[in-house]
Amino acid sequence: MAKKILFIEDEARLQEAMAAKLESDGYEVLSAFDGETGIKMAQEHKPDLILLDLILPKKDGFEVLEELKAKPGLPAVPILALTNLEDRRSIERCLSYGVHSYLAKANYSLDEISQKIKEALQ
Amino acid sequence: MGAITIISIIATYFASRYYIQEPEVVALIVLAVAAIIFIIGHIIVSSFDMIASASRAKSEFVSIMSHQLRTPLSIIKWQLNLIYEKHIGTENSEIKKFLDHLGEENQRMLHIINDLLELNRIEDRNLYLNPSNFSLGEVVGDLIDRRNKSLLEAESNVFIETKIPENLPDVFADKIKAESVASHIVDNAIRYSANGGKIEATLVSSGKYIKCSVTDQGIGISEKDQKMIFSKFFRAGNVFRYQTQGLGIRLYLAKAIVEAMGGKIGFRSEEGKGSVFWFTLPAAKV
Repeated sequence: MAKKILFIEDEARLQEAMAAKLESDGYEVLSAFDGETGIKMAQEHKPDLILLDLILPKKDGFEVLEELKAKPGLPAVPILALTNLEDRRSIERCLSYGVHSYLAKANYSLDEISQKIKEALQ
Repeated sequence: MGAITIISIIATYFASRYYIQEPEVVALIVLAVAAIIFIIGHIIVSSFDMIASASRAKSEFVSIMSHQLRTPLSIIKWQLNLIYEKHIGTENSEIKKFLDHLGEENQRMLHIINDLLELNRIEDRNLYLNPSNFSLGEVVGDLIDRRNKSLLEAESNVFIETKIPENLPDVFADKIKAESVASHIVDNAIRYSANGGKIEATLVSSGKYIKCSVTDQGIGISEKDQKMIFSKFFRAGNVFRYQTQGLGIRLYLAKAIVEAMGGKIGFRSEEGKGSVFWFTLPAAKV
């Protein structure tokens, strides 16, 4: 069965490109466009991996991390922070929630992100 | 400060009562002087506040603008990835050439924005370093293999030789940042060897540190410009005459990054003869 990936990201065109890439790599992709919906979808669909932007409407990525890590069953799901914030404070805050990796969107191609997902799912 | 002024005036009043016939006059003079000092102090403090808030505003502006620009540039990058994967593949068409140009220009914009963001992070003391033990020899060796391949493809008469000892100890530093420093120094050597010539990258260990030096036979740096070479937004006069691209911040970034990782950076240069740029990184603890 295809592994489920939840992508929490408010930019529709990034969602579209990521979904096209990951679906052609054999994953099932779920899209959430804000933090609140992201948390709900994570609870309902139990994804195998979460890709999380940090600057999000309703609830930002840090709030999402805090809530997801407190929900039963979800702390084990690998989370890849996929953001354009690269400052020390944001990275350290994210790592303190135990994210699997921290990737700057602009510096990674879709192929490289897909490779990171593969590594995280192993 | 107000309390100290009042206490000083009262103290002056009581002290002068014993020695002077009109202590009120002395107290008034002290009060006037204190008021002048207070006003000057206030002006200085508020000027510093204004400078600090202007600097914060500039830093926030660069940060917001850069993040806002990185989103559309990420979209262009990812959409181009998809076009290549789904529609272009390995075909060698004219459209592929144009798409390659789009990708390269997108990457160029990202480099400029990434440099500005890095500058901001350094100035805000917000630089993230993720140090580990790794082989600087491998990093520099791989980098130079890639550069030699591109130079060969571009039919350039520049070639980079490497002298990397086999048993070179690992360094303890941030691998990605170390690679960015090495690539900047190597790329500068290539850029300023416009008339060809040999470039040599050498790595040596001095026990506590590993030193990487890159020697070129390029245009060199004039004595006057040498003092400014690690300054922000500085472009050497002999460079700017024929090379207008670049922000002039990458050597500033390289210096800040190397020093943040516990190393040093420096150079020797003679105009018209070439330059040697070097940096050191701490050796990994065994």
